[in-house]
This record gives sequence, C-alpha cells and structure tokens, in this order.
Amino acid sequence: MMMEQLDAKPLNPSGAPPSSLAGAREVADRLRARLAAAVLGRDEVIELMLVALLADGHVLLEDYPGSGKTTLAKALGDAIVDDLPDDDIPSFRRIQFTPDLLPSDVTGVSIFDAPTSTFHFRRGPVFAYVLLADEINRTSPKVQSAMLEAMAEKQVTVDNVTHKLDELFFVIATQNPLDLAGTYPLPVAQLDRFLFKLRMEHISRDAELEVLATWQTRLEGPGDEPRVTRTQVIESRRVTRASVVLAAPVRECLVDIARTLRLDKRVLQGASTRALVLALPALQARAMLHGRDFASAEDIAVLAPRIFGHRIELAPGVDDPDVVISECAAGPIEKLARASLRG
Amino acid sequence: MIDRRRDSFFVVALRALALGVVGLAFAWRVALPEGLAAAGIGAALGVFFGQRLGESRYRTVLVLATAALMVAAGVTGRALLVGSTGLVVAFGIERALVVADVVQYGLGLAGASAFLRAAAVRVRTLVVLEVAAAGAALASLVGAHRDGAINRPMELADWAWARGEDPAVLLVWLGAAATVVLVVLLLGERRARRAPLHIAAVVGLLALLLAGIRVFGLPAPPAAGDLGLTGKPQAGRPEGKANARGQRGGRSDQLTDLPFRDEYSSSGGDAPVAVILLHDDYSPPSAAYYFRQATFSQYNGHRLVAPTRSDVDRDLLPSFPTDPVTVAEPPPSDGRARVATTVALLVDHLKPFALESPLSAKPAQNPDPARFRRAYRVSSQSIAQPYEALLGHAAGEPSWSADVLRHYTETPPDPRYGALADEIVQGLVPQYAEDPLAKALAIKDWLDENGTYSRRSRHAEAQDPTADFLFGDRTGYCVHFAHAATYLYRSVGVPARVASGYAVGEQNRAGGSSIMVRGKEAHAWPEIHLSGVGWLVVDIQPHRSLEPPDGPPDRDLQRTLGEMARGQHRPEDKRHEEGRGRGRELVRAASRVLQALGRALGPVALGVLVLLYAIKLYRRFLAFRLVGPVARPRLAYRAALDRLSEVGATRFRGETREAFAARIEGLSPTLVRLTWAHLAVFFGSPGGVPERDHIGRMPGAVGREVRRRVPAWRWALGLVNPVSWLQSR
Repeated sequence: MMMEQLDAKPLNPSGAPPSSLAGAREVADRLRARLAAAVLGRDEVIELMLVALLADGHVLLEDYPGSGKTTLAKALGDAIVDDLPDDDIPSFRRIQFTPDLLPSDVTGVSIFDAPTSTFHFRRGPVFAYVLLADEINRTSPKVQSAMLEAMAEKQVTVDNVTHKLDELFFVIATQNPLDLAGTYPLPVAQLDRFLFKLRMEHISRDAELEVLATWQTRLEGPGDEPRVTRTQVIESRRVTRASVVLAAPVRECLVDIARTLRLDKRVLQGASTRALVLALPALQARAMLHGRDFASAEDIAVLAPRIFGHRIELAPGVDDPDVVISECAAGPIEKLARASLRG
Repeated sequence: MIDRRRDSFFVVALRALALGVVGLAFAWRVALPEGLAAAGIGAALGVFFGQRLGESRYRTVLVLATAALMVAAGVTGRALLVGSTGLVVAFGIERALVVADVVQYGLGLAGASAFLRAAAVRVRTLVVLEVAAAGAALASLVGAHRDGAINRPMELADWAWARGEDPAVLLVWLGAAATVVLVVLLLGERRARRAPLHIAAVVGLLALLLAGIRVFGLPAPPAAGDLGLTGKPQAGRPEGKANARGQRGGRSDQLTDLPFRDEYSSSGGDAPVAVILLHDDYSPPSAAYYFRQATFSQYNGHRLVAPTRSDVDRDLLPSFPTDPVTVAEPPPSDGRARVATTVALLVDHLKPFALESPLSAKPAQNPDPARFRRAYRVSSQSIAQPYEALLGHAAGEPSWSADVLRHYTETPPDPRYGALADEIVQGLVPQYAEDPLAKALAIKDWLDENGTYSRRSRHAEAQDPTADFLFGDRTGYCVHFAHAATYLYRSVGVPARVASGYAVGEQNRAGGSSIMVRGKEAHAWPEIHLSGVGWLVVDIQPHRSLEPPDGPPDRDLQRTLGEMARGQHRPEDKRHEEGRGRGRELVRAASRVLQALGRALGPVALGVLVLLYAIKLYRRFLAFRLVGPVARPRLAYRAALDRLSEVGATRFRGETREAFAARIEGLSPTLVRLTWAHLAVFFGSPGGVPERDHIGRMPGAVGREVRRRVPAWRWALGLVNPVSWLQSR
C-alpha cells in the first residue's frame, strides 16, 4: 500500500546509515527478508520482532521447544553485520538458563591477570547485539534480576565498575510454558522490562509442509539475502523516532485504553504509565514498517494486546488477556475513528 | 466485532412497554380497573423478569417452568382468594374480588410475558410467539369492526362519534400503533442506538400511509357475492366448461352474463357496500326493495346474457351520472309512486344501481370522500299497488315489434319447459286462466313450493344448467331460480328477463329512512313485462332452504351510515358535553393538539424524507467538491463510506478504518487508498496527502466498484434508502 510516497533509494551496500524513513524501511525489509527465509510461517512474529528491535525493546517468547525461536534469534544475529570489529562484540550470543547459573555467568567476571597483577574484566554473554536468553524462567531470581538490569540499563556493574553494553543490545528471551516444576516464573514487575510477550502458536499446515520441503536448503543459511549493519539498525531507530508523527488523538486513544483497562472489573492491576511510554516507539516502528510517516489507530489496535497483555493482572477466572484488551480498546478506537470523520 | 450478549436496557424497556400495552388489551374486557392496572404493570415487569431469567445460567426447562409456575400461581391464587371464606370475611366481598383480580391478572400476565420473553431470549426465533400473542390480544380488542362494522367496538366507536370523528380513522390509527408495538417486539437490535432509528423509520412509513388515506380514502370493505356487481375478482369455483364455451371470452367486469356456480360464496357478506337514503316514504308490495343494476334478456343458445341489441332493456341507468341523465324508456306512471333516493357507494361498482324503476339520476355531493366512493341521486317510479291490483294487464307492450317480443319470449329448445309451465298454469281458475300475471304468480308459487335454496349445487357443468336444476333436484341459488322462472314465464308467453342487483328485505329498513345494502344481499331475480305496468319483479322465494337464516343487519350501523351519507353526522352522546370544569377543557385542548399533530404528521414525514434525501445527495456529490484540499480527503472518504453503507458494508464498532478498508478490499479496492489519504491528513502526516489530485474522483470510483460487485437489487435498494448515510461510521 502506498509505497510510492516513500521513494525507495537503493541502500548503499557498504552500509551508509539511513537518513530517511525510506532508508529505515529498506533496512527493516532486508531484515524481514532474511528472517522470513530462515523461519517459515512466522510472519506475524517476525514483524513484531522487528517492531521491538526498532523500538529499542526486548521480546519474551513463550513457546514450545522446537518452534523455531533459536533459529529466529540466530537469523536475526546473522543478519546484522558487525561494522565495528574493534569493539569485540559479537552479533549473536545465547545463554541457556539453568537453576545453577550465577549472575557472573551472564554479566562477566573480573579475573586476576597474573602477568600484569591487575583485575581484568572478562565480558559475559550479554555483550552481544542479539542475545537469546533461553528458558529464562528456569534460573534463580538472582540471575534473572542481573539479566533484567542489563536489559533495562544497557549496562552491567561488576566489582563497582560499570561496563556499557552495546547500543543495539536486543534480548530475545524464551520461557517454556510446559514445565512448571523447578521454575521461577517472572513476576509481572519483571515482565514489564519486555516490550512484547509473544506466544508462538503452531504454524499452519502449509507452512509446516514448506519447512519439511526446504529444510536442506535452509541449512545453508539465507546466504544471498542482503544483510544490514549495526549502524544502520541504530540509525533506523533514530530516524523512526524522529520522523514518525504521533498525533495527539493517537496519544489520547492510548491513554484512554489504559484507563479503561484499569477500570475494567476483570483486570486487577492495570498497565503502568511506563508501558504507555514504551508503547510510543513501538507504534512509530510499526507505522514505519508499513510505510507510513504517521502512527495510526491500526497500530494501536494491533499492538495494544501485545504491549499490555503481560503487564496487566487478570481477576481469577478470566483467562484470555487478549479478549479483555480488545474489548477495552474498542471504545477508545471507535472514538478515535469517529473523531477523524468530524474534522 | 464484539457481540454483546445482552440486550440493551433501552430495548428491553421498549419491549416491556409494548407488552404492557398488550397486557392491557388482553385484560380490557374482563378485568376490574384495578386488575387492568395490575395486568399492564405485571406484563411489563414480566418482560424484565423474563429477560433476566433468559440471560441467567439456569436450564431452559427450569426457566420456562418458573414462568409457567407464575401463571399457575396467578390462576390458582384467584381461586384461593375468592374461595376461602376467611379472606372474604376479612376484606369484604368487593375488596376480595379486587385483590383476586389483581393477583390473577398481575401475576398471571407477568408470568406469561416472562415466559414469552425468556423463551425468546433462549431461542431467538421464538420471538414470533411474543409477536403472535401481542397480535392476537390487539386483534381481539378491535376485531369486532370486521366487515365494515365501523360502529364497533363500541368503546372506541362511541368515543369517536362523540367527538364527531369517523371511528374508522381511529381504527386505522390504532392499527398503526399496533404495528409499532409489534415492530418493537420484533426488534432484534442489541444495540440501543439503532432501535430508535428503526422505530422512527417505521413510524415515518406509517405516517406516509396515513397521509395516503387522506388522499385515496379509507380501505373499502370486502365486496362479497359472486354476481359480479362490483367487478371484483369473484370467489368460488371456476365455471363449468360447458358454460365457458358459451362465452366469447367474456370478461367478468363487463356484466354481460350471470355465471352459474356450484359454490356461491358469500363470505364477508356482512360488510356494507352501499347506503340508500329514501327521501320519500315507500313500502314495496313485494316486501323487498329491489335495486336493479343490470338485466339479462337475450338467450344466446345456452343461457341469458346481457342484450347485444340496443332497442331492448332501455329502462336502466346507462352509466354513473356526471350530469343529470334520464332513462331512455321510463316506466309508465300508472300504479306507481315517485320515490327519490340517494345512493352512496361504499365500494366501487361497475354500473349504477337504483331502486326499480329509475326515471332519472343526477350526481350528488359525496358526503365524505374518505369513506364513500361516490353518491348519486335517483328518481324512481316504483310499484305502489299490491300485485292483485295489477291483474288484468296484457303481457308485453303493444308498441313492441314482433322482433322485440320474440327477444323477450325466447326459451331453450328443450320441450320440458313448455310442458312443465303448461302443467302449472292448468291449475288456475278459469277466471285468470289467460291472465299473464296470474300465470306468472302460479309459476312463482310452484317454484316457491318445490324449490330448495342452497348455495351449493351441482349444475354448472351441465349443458343447460337451468334444465339440470329445474328437472333435477331443484336445488340452487338465486341465479338458478331466476333463470328457471324466466324460462317458465316465457314458455307461457309472458315476456320476462333476469335482473341483477341488490334485494333488501323491507324489515331490514326497520322504520328508518336509510337502507344499508350488504354484500350478501346481491341478488338475481326474474321480471315480467306487463302492458301499462312496465317491468315487474316476480321473484321466487323458495320455502325450503339449506342455508342458515341470515341475521338482521346491524341497525346501529345502518343508522350511522345513513347519517354519514346525509353528511349530518353529529355528536350523539351529549353526556360528554355536559362534563364540567377544567378537566373537560383540558381534554378538548389535548384532543385538538393531537388532531393537529395527526394532520401535521404526514407533511412532516414528507418533509423529513425530503431533508434526508437532500443530505444524502449533498454528502454524496457536493460536500467534498466544495471544500479546500485540507478537508477534501475527509469528505471524500465520507462520501465513499455513504456509498458503501448503502449496500450494507459498514465498519464494525471498534474496527479501525484501515481494518475496515482491508476487510472490504474485495468490494472496493479504491477505499484502501482513500482511507490512507484521509488518515494521513487526520494524523498530520508530514509527508503530505498522497494522490492529492485524484481524491475528488475516488468516491465515484468506489461507487462504480460497488455497483459492479453487488446485485442490482441490493444496489437499487440502497440508492433509495433515505437513511443509509446515517449508518456510515
């Protein structure tokens, strides 16, 4: 739809940072193409993942083993070229969380360097562009909080020394809904660190058949699809934040949805103001992905269940947060739609 | 879309109101005033209760049983209250009865309406039960006015008369109100905002209908009788083939012949079709008033039909008078009396009819164009002497040519007619053996004695139905008797013919000066012609009849219609006038206001309709062309939405504009682009409005896409819908 309005300039293959929304969109499209080639039948998850990446948020995936989350995360890491080789930060890292993991296993540790007689900081796996935190609910709260601090602050503090993480730092955490024994479920306050919590349903029959048909070729990787550089991603974030308009009615609609949710009898604990603030770049990112330079009601309608779903606490007996949020969003969205006709 | 399971309170309240009215209607005739109030309130509350019950989680059986239990409690409660002596002693008889009434109607109707509502909530289709109950109650209330009995039901009619109003108008209004009540019950809307819109649409349509009554008149009562007097399609079985062969494609609206039927229906025959005002006192010697409309004197080889020659039967009114007309061949004046009458037709007729035998006619002022189709004044010269005094006149007319005489005396070639007629007249005393009237009366007596009246017979299939009747079981209705008598009269040399019209017994007049003609009084009879007397009705009145006797006419209605035909209907009941004080004044003022409102409703409805169309057209074609580039996308988008809502494509509540556009992309691809442009402006896109130059053409494009993709009838229906744009969202 309406792509004509954004003139699609060919992206400099050497990796010149995008200076316009069109450039940002080109970056996003490249990422999308690589991810779609790697994981089939997950277009919705891929799009939300891109929204989170470009909105500088993190994603929590709730899924079954073998649903393609690692492949997805790896493909994302693969797609981003490290154009700053000096900083020694890899594109992709993975942590498998276990109950006996220690915080230093995540953040890194200071070790004594005998020749120089100094403590030298050895970086942990959080120093990466894309980090897959597998089964985050299986580890102790101590490790979880270290991880979550890193996500929130984009820095780790070891031995009173603060080490900055990379600006791109993007976490894809997963938790397995099946095994509940020996897990430490993330409390709602901690879940707040994630922009989206996505549930990966089983893919459709056609997509599954396609997966089986193409598994061999896909083993070799997406290969020829163009990749993007870290700087381009960061620059896309900046451009999106600066150029996509968030009109007053959109902000009003967002606030109205949050207030409706708080008043709803089925909701014990509504969404925080921070959630609303975090929602704004997500709306911008989605608008940009769809070639718009303005955030629209459609962005709210699609993203509201994703943004608020894991941030609210439902009353006992109410199962599906999506239904509650959709119903609560209908009123403000309707109001917004009607306001647009009044002029 | 989010489907709210519960009906909105507004809709439930409307239903409660409607069923409250129904409860009142149901208890109207039977309950004491207190019971009546209880019935209305109970029925209304029952709706709320039934709604709660229906929406509860209990099983349907339990829900319905609860409501049924309430009904049972109401009925047995009355028996207990009235039956137990203790209570009656404590309250006193009168109060105990009131309490019993309140319990019975309040609780019983609450249970009944709760039952209906709960059933309808559980099974959506069962709403028809509710509607049927409401319809039956309302119909039972006003059912008495059927068959044109506009003076019934008395409660309504008297009230209307007392105010100088035609109760039929009141009944029509009542019907309109009942329609609204039923529509409210049928209302499937779960969203409160649409309900008033749809009710308003129904009210508007009814208002247009009622305005139409002012222009086109009240609906006429059903015309009955199979004699084809009114030209209405005739009921009953089609004619036998033998008879059909004898016609030259005869159309029933030409009055060229009288059909023989095996089943002569007179359903709905109580409905009045005309009112005759007698301006002179006149009492017919035959004890019945004969209103002649048409004659059948020409034997065509099968039966008698209207004459094709122009020199016979010239004593009829040729057509409805628009100017004074006179009859070509007036009857002689000897032995006849001048009678002036006014005929006011309630039902359209093919030809005028008049009291025998008319001299002249002239148009009369229609006393009430909404009720009467037309009115004309007739001057008749009617037989005023008893039949015995007419003996001694020669048959026929000396001035007739042999040809005309043959025309009036031609019989079927069947020799049995002559044989039978000769046998009958043989019994005459010699003094009268050659008198034509005496011969005719002898034949009449014989047929009276030997014929049996029945609306069911089996002669229509025969080659000559009259012979089949006369020489068979002699069981038939007026057409059979008229033909048989005419053939027998002719067989003995008396010129005769069959006439049709209405025959009203003198006793039906009941001493008043107006005669109400009912559909079932349509009749065919034989007439003979005597020199110096003219055409004389010698009708057969069979002594035996297989039909139940007819009831007398509604005298009250007869008098009322007579007064209406005279244009002098005045308030009869002066008691209302005697009421004193401010209450009376208030009622009068209120009724004036109501009348004014009623009169204004039609024009107002028309005005609203015109306004709605004007807005529709303005939004569709003009609005977006008249504004600058900033407002244009919005108004163009609205114009496109209007075109889509015409065919029922509307946005759901809570659906975003983009989602709507994507949903109906198959119907209108252009809307996606238009939506984008509209939203870009609304959300302040820094990139500006895309396709700025094409926006003015997009609503038209959407319209063309819609037209191509929906069925033509759907499209046309949307086009004429004046309120379609109200559904654009």
